[in-house]
Amino acid sequence: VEPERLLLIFRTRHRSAIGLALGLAVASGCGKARSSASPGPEAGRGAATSGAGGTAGSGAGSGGSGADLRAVAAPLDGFVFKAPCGSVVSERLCETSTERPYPRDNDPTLVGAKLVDTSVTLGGETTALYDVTLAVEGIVEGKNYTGGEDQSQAGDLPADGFYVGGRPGGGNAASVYLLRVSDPPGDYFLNSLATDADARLRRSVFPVKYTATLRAKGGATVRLVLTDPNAHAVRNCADPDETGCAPVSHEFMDAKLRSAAGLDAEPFDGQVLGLVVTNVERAAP
Amino acid sequence: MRAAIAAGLLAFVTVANPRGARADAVSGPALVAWVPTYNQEEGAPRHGAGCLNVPLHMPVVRRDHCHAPALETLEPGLYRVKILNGAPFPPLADDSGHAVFVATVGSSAHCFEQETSDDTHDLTAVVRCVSADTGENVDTFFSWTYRADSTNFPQDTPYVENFAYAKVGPDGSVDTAASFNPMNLHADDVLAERNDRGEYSVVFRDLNPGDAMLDAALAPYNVIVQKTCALDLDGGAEPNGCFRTECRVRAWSPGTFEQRDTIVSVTCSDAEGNPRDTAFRVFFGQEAFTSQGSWEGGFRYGWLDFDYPPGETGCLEGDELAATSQHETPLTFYLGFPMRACREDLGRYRVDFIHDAFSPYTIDGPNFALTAVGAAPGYCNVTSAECANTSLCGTPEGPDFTRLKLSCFDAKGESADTPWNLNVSY
Repeated sequence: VEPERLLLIFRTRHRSAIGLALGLAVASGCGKARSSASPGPEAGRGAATSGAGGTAGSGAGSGGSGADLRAVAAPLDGFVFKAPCGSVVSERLCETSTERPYPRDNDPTLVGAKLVDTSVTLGGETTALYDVTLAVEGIVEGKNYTGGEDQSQAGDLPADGFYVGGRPGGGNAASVYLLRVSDPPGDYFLNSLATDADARLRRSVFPVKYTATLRAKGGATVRLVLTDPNAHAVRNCADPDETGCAPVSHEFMDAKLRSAAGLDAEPFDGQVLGLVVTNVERAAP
Repeated sequence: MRAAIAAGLLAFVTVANPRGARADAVSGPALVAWVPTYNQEEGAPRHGAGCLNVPLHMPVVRRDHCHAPALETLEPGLYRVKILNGAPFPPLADDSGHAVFVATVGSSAHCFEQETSDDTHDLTAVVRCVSADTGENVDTFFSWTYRADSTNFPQDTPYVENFAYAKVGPDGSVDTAASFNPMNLHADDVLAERNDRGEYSVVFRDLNPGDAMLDAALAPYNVIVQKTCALDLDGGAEPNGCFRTECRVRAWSPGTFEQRDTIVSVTCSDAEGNPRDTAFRVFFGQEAFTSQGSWEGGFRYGWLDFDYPPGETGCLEGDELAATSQHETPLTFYLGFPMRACREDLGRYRVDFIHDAFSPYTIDGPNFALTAVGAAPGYCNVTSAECANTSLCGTPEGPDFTRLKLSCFDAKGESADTPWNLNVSY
């Protein structure tokens, strides 16, 4: 595990004792932690770049106020992944793409129909590292991931689906929600909904609401991907996975995200997951 | 164009396999091996037996190539296949399996799996061929194929959840070590039941287009069933023994968006046509038994499900024929290259791969698995395999297409019409 990854693990809400110890060791070894409120021009405004799908973040920010570094991650603020249902193929399933054959990819993380594939560029000082804290909210199906670190396997709902590093696991064709940071390179998955006792892999969506922190250099790009390996996804059907389809209410979601996703304007069948930037701090290099 | 495709493939395989080019082999997540004994005459390109794996992706104690299968004739009609470093993968959390299929080529004999065993490193398989009418051992040609799977040890590419297979005992019990369903939505993802004497149902849970990677447009996919006589040697070649027993697909119901599980019904009958409790293997998939190709679509396979009115002569193709075939197929050929299958005479059939891109590199390149389908006792064999006259392995007097001929028989070995399913890879 790389030192930077350890720091990320350290910052997760359900930190382990080992992660805590290693994180402290790395941090103390560096000994150069800087104030997150340090003034200066590094908190420049980020920018959205080309891509497909999704609802772009606000891009708003103070443009350099030391009091609020959130402008560094402004392009992520208010971003919404949407997987709207196309044709309904069964009571709890719908088609999300008509692309055939199912797209393959040299990168196993990116296999499938890209329902969202957008890159944004963060602001900030290009030599600085930032810890970007996000509130992640929405209604999604679960996916299994492997080779990385799950932030939480608690069974509470709304669920915590944050998974750091690794890759999508096999054994199903559930959708992958991904944030891919260019520098330092890292993958962050958003719908790892498993609990200790339940993989939550079935024809149900679950409400999610959690806080996640990713690390990025100023000027790094973040690729936001929602890919569906078999072009079919779970409709907005609450657990349990039984006959019928009772939708999950979107009311618990942040008003800004509901608005960005258009959830208040008209009925929406499908999955949705939004990001709100709640904090940005400079990280120790 | 084909030369360019072949050159590109050759380059890819050379990189993937430091031992040299294997332009006529498939690649995928499974360890695969094959032994064709047919079409071994001099004068045309042959590749013989082979085994494919990726040493780096093998278990730590087995990080070497699997060796080409060594075929030994023990006595007339009895053969042993040995593959060094070809054993199944270690069973970890029921995520591994292995399977063997044998197709008789050029006669009405029964060739079948008599034994498949291993010492955790090497694989040993015994194939027996017997006369359909007397049960005596007979030398005949055959095609033997083998795959070993483990989601812990994918070889060339990750698993695509569009297939499964099982080995079922005479009592309907599932041999979990020899069964494999890549789905992980349920702990028990392969189920089987003995419904009556010689009657079974096999369930592959969650194998459907909504939860798995099956493409609904390719339904009903391909199902192959074959008996195995491993641990069932007592009756031998007697009319009610295993040697002349045949197991077939009575019917199958692939998973759909509504029906989540794939269900295969199997019937086994002895040489008198009577139901007989018998162990069997079953493969279900969207691709071929040993396909699952590379990132760029390096598939070379075909399958078809043929059902034509008995006694009538004619062909099926297009929408009338559930079939697909590929040879690194471009997207413009989504759903695969066109195929044609014809009934030519009583129990005699012809299969044409009617796109010239479907082209084995060698005259013994294709390996087969096939099964009779339906309630009537019977079985099917490959009669012949020919390359197209324009292909690398063809001759001017050859057919215009890659062509297979099949023969089907009743329980006593007499020619008979029956529906059948064919699966071929190269």
